[in-house]
Amino acid sequence: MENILFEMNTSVFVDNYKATAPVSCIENAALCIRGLNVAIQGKPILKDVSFDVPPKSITCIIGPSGCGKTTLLRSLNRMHDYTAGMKVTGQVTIDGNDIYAPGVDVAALRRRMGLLAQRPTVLPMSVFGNVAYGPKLYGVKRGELLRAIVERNLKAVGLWEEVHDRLHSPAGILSVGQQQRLCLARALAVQPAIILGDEATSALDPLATRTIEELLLRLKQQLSIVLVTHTLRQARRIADHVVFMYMGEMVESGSAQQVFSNPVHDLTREFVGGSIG
Amino acid sequence: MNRRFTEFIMKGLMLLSVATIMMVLLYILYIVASKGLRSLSWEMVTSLPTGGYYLGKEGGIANAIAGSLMMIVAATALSLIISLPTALCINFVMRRNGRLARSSRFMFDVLFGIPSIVYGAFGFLLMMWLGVQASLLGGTIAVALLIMPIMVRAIDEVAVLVPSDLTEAVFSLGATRYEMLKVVVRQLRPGIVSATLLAVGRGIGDAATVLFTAGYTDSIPVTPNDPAATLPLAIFFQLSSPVEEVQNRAYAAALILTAMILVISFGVRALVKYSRK
Ligand SMILES: Nc1ncnc2c1ncn2[C@@H]1O[C@H](COP(=O)(O)OP(=O)(O)OP(=O)(O)O)[C@@H](O)[C@H]1O
Ligand SMILES: [Mg+2]
Repeated sequence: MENILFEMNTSVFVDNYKATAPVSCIENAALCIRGLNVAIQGKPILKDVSFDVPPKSITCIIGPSGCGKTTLLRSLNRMHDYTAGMKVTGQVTIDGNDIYAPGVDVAALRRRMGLLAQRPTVLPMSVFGNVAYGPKLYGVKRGELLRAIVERNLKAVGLWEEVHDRLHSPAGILSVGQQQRLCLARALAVQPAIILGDEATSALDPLATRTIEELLLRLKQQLSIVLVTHTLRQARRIADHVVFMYMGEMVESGSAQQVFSNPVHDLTREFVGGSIG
Repeated sequence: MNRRFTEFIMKGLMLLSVATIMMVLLYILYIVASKGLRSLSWEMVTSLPTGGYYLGKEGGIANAIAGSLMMIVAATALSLIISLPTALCINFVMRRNGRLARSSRFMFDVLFGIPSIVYGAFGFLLMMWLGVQASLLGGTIAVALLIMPIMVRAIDEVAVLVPSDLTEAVFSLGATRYEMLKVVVRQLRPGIVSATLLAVGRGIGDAATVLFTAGYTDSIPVTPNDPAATLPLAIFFQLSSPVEEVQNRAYAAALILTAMILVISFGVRALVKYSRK
């Protein structure tokens, strides 16, 4: 899907800092996670997690409830910075730059990775305002261009038909499923290089889910997608790569084909076979 | 005991308390109106007191109405400029429930509980120290101090309810902390309006704060350094008169004060509602 490009100050998020990454990631990895540990008040939530997110593909993180999927996703764009007592160690690199290095411009970093939270949260403004918020932050002022961006992204998530006649109503009046799609449109509008989605279709019916899945499949030609999903069937449908988490540890990661049909680890076999989880 | 019976008794007691309070309020309004309406005239609202006004001759209290209005507008503005950032800081810069935030809240609770005469005395001391006469400026500062803790705590009450989901949603679009706060303020707008109106009601009716700090005069202040008459003091002085007509005018002044608060309250709320559209 080609996107409407708007002019922006393409800020580099790292200030004269290039990690001398001792890590060996796969070539062109969108994200490279090495030895990631997350603990809250000394209690570990993630233990030594390492995997690569290959570029221009969909990586699904699966695992039973409470195993740390959300925590993992949030540490990829430094959302834990605001949680008191949360300690993150290890390396997460994007284009070879460690995002946890000192001097990183966190705002610019997040701009490159849209995060869809597990609970969709609309901003206290209109439907239009929600989608236009990001582009406005990055200096898009022309009303015509903003309208085009809003329309394009709302169409992409299959919401345009439903809301085009109430673009200026408060976004809070939309249904939960509509809000979820609005949040996706809002994230896409800033043209991120990576999308981090936490159960991005949890509130959607099968039809809307398919719209989003088809969108993600189209999007992956341009960007890298990391998706936490509860439904194994969804992972089977769209994942190129799968990361299986269990009790805070990364048990297995690999191509979807391999993880689903020929898992190395017993736990993975039981999970994808449906006997645990 | 029978549950239905308990339910019946409880409901009755609650209705009784509501009815009692309503009756007291209506009685206050009735007394003020019945005594005040007798002496209320257009002249009273529009003209300044003449030499014989306080003996029951012609004139009005336009000086006090103007003084009160000027002072409350200036004091509310001054207080809001300080209170809003303070409340935001407690909730979004400090850790919301951390030790620093909790002790700040406690401090504002203490300030909230200090009687207004103490603010008046403090303001008076401050003015002597700075060599300022009893004036519009002095009264404004004292009233601003009086209503600041009210505003901070009232805004804080709604600010603690802002979910971290919202701040994170804004951050994940690549917003800086300042940009995030702008979105939060939008969300808080109704709470800020309520806090402001609460403060206006409290500040405009207080006599003790302005007694030493604003002074009293028969003319409308032209510069901030002129002394300023205020409605609470106008009521106080007239009520202490032995002349019955002058006493009735005190009730008329009370009626004017009440009406002003109502007009400001409804006016501001209507304005906010209108500006939303
Ligand atoms: N802020 C926090 N404070 C304390 N514990 C936390 C915090 N965040 C996460 N945890 C704990 O970390 C563990 C992993 O939580 P997480 O939300 O990452 O699970 P999840 O895999 O996303 O689960 P689900 O599939 O139900 O969404 C849980 O046991 C949770 O209680
Ligand atoms: Mg989760």
